[in-house]
Amino acid sequence: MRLFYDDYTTGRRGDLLLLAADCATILAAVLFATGAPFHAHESPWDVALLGVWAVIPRSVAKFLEWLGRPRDFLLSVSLSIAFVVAVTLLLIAGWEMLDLTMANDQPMREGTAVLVLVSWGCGFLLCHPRSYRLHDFLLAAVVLLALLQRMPAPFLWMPLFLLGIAVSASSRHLLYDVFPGAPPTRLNLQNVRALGLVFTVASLGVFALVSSLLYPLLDARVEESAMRSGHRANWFAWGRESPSASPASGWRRLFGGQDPGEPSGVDAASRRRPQSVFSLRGGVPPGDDDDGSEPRRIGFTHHVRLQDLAAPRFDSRKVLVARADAPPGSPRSTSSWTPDGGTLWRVIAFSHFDVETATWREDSEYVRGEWGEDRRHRVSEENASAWTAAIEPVWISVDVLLPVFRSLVAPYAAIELGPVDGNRTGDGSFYLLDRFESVVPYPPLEAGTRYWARVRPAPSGMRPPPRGDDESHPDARYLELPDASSTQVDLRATARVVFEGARTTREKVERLIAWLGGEFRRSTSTTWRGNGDHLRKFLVDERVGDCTYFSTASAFLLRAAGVSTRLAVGFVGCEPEANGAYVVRNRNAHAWIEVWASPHGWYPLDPTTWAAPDPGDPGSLAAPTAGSESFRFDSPAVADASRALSAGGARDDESEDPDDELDAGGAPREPLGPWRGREPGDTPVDTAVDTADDTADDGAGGFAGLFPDGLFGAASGSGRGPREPASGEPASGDAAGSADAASPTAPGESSRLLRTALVRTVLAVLGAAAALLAVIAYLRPRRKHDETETLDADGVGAPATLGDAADPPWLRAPVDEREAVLFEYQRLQADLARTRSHRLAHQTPVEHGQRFRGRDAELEGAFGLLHRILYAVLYGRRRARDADVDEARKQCRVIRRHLA
Amino acid sequence: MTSAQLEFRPNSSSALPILAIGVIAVAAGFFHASSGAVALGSVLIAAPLAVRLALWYAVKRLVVRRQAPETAYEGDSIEVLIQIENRSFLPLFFPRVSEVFAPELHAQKDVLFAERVAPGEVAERAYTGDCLLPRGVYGIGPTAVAVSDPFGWFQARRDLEAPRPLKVYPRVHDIGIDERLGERISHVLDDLTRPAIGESNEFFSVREYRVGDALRKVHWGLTAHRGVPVVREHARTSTGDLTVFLDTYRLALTGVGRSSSLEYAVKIAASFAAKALARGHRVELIAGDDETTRVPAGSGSAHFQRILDLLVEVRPTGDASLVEVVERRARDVRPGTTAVVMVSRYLFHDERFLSLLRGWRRQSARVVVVLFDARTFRRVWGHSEDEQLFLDSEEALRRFRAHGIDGFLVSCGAELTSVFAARAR
Repeated sequence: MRLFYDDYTTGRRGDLLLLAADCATILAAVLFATGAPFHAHESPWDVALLGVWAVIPRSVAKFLEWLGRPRDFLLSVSLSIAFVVAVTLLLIAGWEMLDLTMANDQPMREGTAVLVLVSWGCGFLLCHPRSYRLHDFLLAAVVLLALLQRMPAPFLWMPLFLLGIAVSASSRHLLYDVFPGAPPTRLNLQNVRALGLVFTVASLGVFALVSSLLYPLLDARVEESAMRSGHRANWFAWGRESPSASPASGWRRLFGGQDPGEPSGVDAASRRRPQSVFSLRGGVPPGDDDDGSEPRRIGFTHHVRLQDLAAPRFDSRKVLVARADAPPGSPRSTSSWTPDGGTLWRVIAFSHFDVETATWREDSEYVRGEWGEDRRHRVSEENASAWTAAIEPVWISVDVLLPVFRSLVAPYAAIELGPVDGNRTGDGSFYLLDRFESVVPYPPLEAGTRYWARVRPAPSGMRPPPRGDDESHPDARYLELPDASSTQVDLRATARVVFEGARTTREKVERLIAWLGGEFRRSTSTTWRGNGDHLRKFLVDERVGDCTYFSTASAFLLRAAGVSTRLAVGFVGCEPEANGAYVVRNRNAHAWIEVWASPHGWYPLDPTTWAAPDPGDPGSLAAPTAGSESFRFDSPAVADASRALSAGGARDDESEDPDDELDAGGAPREPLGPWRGREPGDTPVDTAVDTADDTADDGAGGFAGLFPDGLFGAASGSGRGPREPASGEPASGDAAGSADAASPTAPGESSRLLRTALVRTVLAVLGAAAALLAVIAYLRPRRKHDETETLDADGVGAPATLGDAADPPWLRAPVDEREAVLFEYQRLQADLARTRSHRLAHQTPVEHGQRFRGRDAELEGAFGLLHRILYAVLYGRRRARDADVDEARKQCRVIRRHLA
Repeated sequence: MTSAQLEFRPNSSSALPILAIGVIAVAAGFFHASSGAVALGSVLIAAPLAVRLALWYAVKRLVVRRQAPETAYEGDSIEVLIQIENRSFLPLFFPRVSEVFAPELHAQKDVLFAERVAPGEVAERAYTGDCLLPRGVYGIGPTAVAVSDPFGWFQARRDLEAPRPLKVYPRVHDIGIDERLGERISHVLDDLTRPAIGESNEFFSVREYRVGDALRKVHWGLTAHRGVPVVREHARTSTGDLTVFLDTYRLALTGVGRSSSLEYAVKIAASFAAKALARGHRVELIAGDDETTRVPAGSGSAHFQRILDLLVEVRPTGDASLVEVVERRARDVRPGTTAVVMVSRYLFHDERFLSLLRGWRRQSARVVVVLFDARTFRRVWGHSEDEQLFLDSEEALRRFRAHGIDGFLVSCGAELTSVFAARAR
C-alpha cells in the first residue's frame, strides 16, 4: 500500500478536510463524555441528534468564515444577529437535549453536561488560527475527564479523537502556516491523511500498551482506594448524589441539584438519573423534631421504575460488601451467618403503582424506633415481625460502596444499626428502621463508610406464610388495584380464576405458586413492554417475564384476592470473597413481594422463583434446589428458626402441605432460591466468567466480548457502561474484576486472569507492531520513477536517463549546450512528476502537451516548442547553440508558471 | 548582518497545550488510578516529543546549497537556485529556506518547498531577486532553513551560512549609435586607428628577412627578384586606447545618492569602457591619484571586470582634485588615444585644467569632456551664483569646444543613451 503521495488539490478541499477533522474530534469528545451510544434506553436517533448538535457550531463557524466579512453594514449586522440567535437556539436545544437525556435516566450529570458544553463551545473557536491551541487543550481535557470518569468504550472513541486531532493539526498547518490564503493554493492532502493515519495508529499503540501495562497496577486499586480515602475516588462525580461534604455539592448547587434536606421533590428527583436501579428520595417533614429521642415520623417518597429493573443490568459494580462481624462491646453471635444466592437484601417496599409511568411508589409507613445513646437505632418491639422472632439475630457490617443509596440495604430483617464511626454522620444524624424493616437513613449513606447492623437473617426462598387470622392490613392502600381500563386486563376476574376455592392467605399463595409455576416462564431477556398493557401481555399473551412482571402481577392478583401485598425491591444473592466478605453487585437487583400474614407481619415471597426458566432464554439460569451449595445454611440458628417457624405453621395445620417444612439442612426442598441460581450439580458459579459474559452482552456491544474488562466497555469502570454510575465510582466493575482476579480462592479467577493477561499482552504487542509499521510507513521514501527510456536514439554516447530523482544529473554542470538543453528538460520532468496529471511516465514534451490539447493553447504551444528544440538537439544533425538553451529554459519557465 | 534579521512566522499550532494536558493526564491518572488517563497522557506527551526529536534529527542532516551569480548589474533580476538535500532517514515536510537578498532593499526571500522531501531526495527551487540598490558589494544571506513538523507543533530553525557577497556593477548604457542605421559606429572611437606595423591583413611595406620572421611572410617573388629574402610587413591592428578620468574629489560631488554626479560619471565610464572594449580597444581607468584607484590599460572581458570592480568601489572621498590627477597622469594619454574626462562645475572655468586638456589635444590625443549640468544636480557644497549655473554650464561647454575639445552636457535624470546619441548625430 502506498501511503504517501505528493498530489495537490485546492484549498477548499483542505477546508473541508479540516472541518471534518474538527467535527470528528468534537464528536468523539461529546459522545465519549456522554457515553450516549451505550445507553440501554437511548434511541439511536437521539444519539444521532446529539452528534449533529455537537458539530453544528463548527460547521456554522466555518460557513461564516467562508462567507467572509461582508462589506455591507446592514448585512453585517443582520448576520451577527442571526448568528447570536442561532447560537442561543442551539444552546437552548442543547440544554433541552441534555436535560432530556438526564430525564431518560442516562448518566448525563451536570459535570458531564459541562464537558459536553465545553466540547460544543470549542466549535466556535475559529476566530483566529491560534485559537486552535485552546481548542486542542479543551477537547483533550474533556477526553481526560471522561477517562477519569471511566466512561465506556475508550478504545472506540480514542481512534476518532486522535485521528481528528492529527488531521486537524496537519490540515490547519497547511492552510494557515504553509499556504496562507488557502483557497487558490494547491494543497497536499494525501500526506495529511497519511500522517493522520500514522499518528492515530502509533498513538493507539502507545495508548494500548500503556493502558494495558498500567491497568493491573492502577485500576485494581480503585476499590481499595475508595474504601480507604472515602470521597477521593469520587471527586469527579459532579452532580452525583454525593454526600454534602463532597466537593461535588458545589456543582450540584450550581446546577440546581436537589439538596438532600429538601422535602419531597418528586419532580426533581424524577429528573435525576438513579445511580442504581433504585431511586429513593425523602426528607423530614417540616415541624418534626429530630432530636432522636422520640419515635420518628418521616414522610418518604420513593419510587422505582420498573423499566430499570427490567432493563438488562449486567452491572458488575459493587453495591456493598457485607461480612459477619460485631461492633466492639456488643456480644458476638454464637453462630456465623452466611448469606447465599437466595438472600434477599431489601431496600424498600412500595404500595402504590402508577400504571402510566409503570412506577411503584409511596411507601409512607411511619417509622417507629428508638434512638439509643450509643447512636444506634433500635426498632420497637412492637414493630418486630412475629415470624422472625425465633431467628437468632446476628451482627453484620456493611461497607457501603455507592454513595447513591438513600437506604441501607440489609437482609431480612434488621433490628438495629448504626455507623461504625459515629463522627462521620455528624450532628443530628440518625438512622431509622421502620417496623417493616425499611431502613431510612438521614442524611444519606456515605460511600466508603462501614455500618453495623443487627439482623435476623431469614432463610432463602420463603415458603407460603404460616397460617394466621388472615386479616388484611389496616392500611387499605395495600389492597389498591389499578383500573382495568388502564391495565387492559381484568385483575379481579383473573384472580377469581386463579384463587378459586382458596380461603386463607396461605392457600391463595399456594394457588398462585401453582399457577405461575405451571404456565409462566421467567426470562432475563424480556424487554419491558410498556405503554400500559404490559400486565395484559404478561398475564394473557406471552406469560414470559422477569422479576418485575412476576412481582407486580403477583402483587395485584393477591390484592385482588384480598391479600395485602406490596412490592419489595432490593438485591438477591451475593458473591463470596476470599476474605470472608460477601459482595452484592448492582446486577443482583431484584424485585419480589411481601404479603401481609396477620398476625405474623409482612412475609417476603419471591414469585420469580416459582416459574420455570424460559428454555429460549440463554441468560435464564435454573433455579437452585435444596441441597445445592448455594443454599447451604451455615447458621444453626437460622435452621432452628426455620424449623421453629415450620413447626409453628404445623401447629396451625399439621396435616397441611409438607412444603412448609424445611429439610434438616435448612434448605428448601423445591426450587426456590434466586432465579439466577443454579441447578443442583452445576458447576459452582464462576463469578468472574459471569461478569465477563455479562460484559459481553451489555451496551458495549460486540466489542466488549472481544476484550477483557477495561478495554472497550470495561475500561470505563463497568461492564455495563453508562447504565452504571460511572463518575469516579470507587467500586468499578473492572476494579471489582481485578480484585476478583487477585483473589486466589475465587473460582475461575485463575483462568480469567490468564485470559485477561493473554488478551492484554496480545493487544499490547499488536499496538507496538502497529506503531512500528506506522513508523516504517512514515519512513518509506517516495517511490522512484522507473522511467529509463532514453531520448538519445542515435546510439552515440551514453544513453540519457530521465527521471532518476535519486541522482539528478542536472546537479552537475552541463558539458555542452546539448546537455544543457537535456538537463533543462530533465529538471522539468522532475517537477512534472510531482503533479497528479503528469505522474505517468510521459517521455516527450508532446506527450505532456497532449494532455492540454484544447484546454490551454499556450501550455500546449510551450510543450511543442520544447519538443522541437529537444528533438533538434538530440535527434538532429546540427549542434546545439546557446539560443537553444535559452529557448528551452524559457519554455520550461512558461510551463512551470502555468502549472504552479 | 546577523541571522536575527530573518523573521519566521510562528505556526498557528503549538505543542505546549498538548504537552500540558498530557502532563496533567498522567498526574491525574496516577492520582485517580486510571490507566486510561495515564495512557492518554503518555500519548499526548510521547507524540509531540517524538515529533520534535524526529524533526531535530532531520533538520540537523539537512544540506542546503545555493547557486547564484557573483555579479550583476544595477536593475538586473537574478535567479538564485536553492537546493536542499535530505540526508537523514526521515522525510521533511514543507521546508522553508529564507535569506536576505540585500540588493533588493535587504528583502527577505522565502523559498517554500511545498512538498515532502523524502530521505535522500534533492529538491531545488529558485527565487528571483532584483538588484534595486545602486552599485556596490552586497550580500546574499544570511540563510536559514525552517522546518515544521507535519502537524505544525514545532518549528526547527537552522542558520546555515554567512552572507555571500554579490557585486552589483553600475548599469552599462549603450552610448553608441544605432548600427542598423548604417551610421558611424562611434564618434569617439572610430578615428583612433593610426598607421603602424602590426599583424593585420593590410599590407604596409616590405623589408629584408630577419631571423625569426615567419616563412609565410616571405615575399617569394620579390625575394627572387632581389636575390635576398624579403618579407612583407602588415599594418598594425588598430589599438586606439581610451583613458577615462573619473573625478572622485569630494568637493566635486553634486547631487545625492543615485542622482549624484559621481553615479552618472561611473555609469558613463562603464559604458565607455564597455563600448571600447567591445571594439577591441585598450581602456585605462583613473579614479584617483594613487595606484589603487587606477586600472592600467588593457583589453578583454577580464579587463572590463577589473574596471567594473574598481567602479563598484569608487566613492567621492578623494582628496585630490581632478586637475591634480590629470596633471599627474598626463603622460598616460599618449598621442592618438582618447581621454574622457568627467568634469564637475568647479572646473568649468579652471584655466589650468583647460590648459592640460589643450596640451593633450596638441599631442594629437582626442579629448572628450563630460560636463554635469550644475543646474539639475542638487548642490552639496555651497554655490552662491545659482542663477548663473545653467549659463555657466553652457558657456563652459562652448569654451571646451572652442578649443577642439569634444564635450557633452549631462543633466540629472537624462537618459545617457540619448545624450550621447544625439551628439553623435
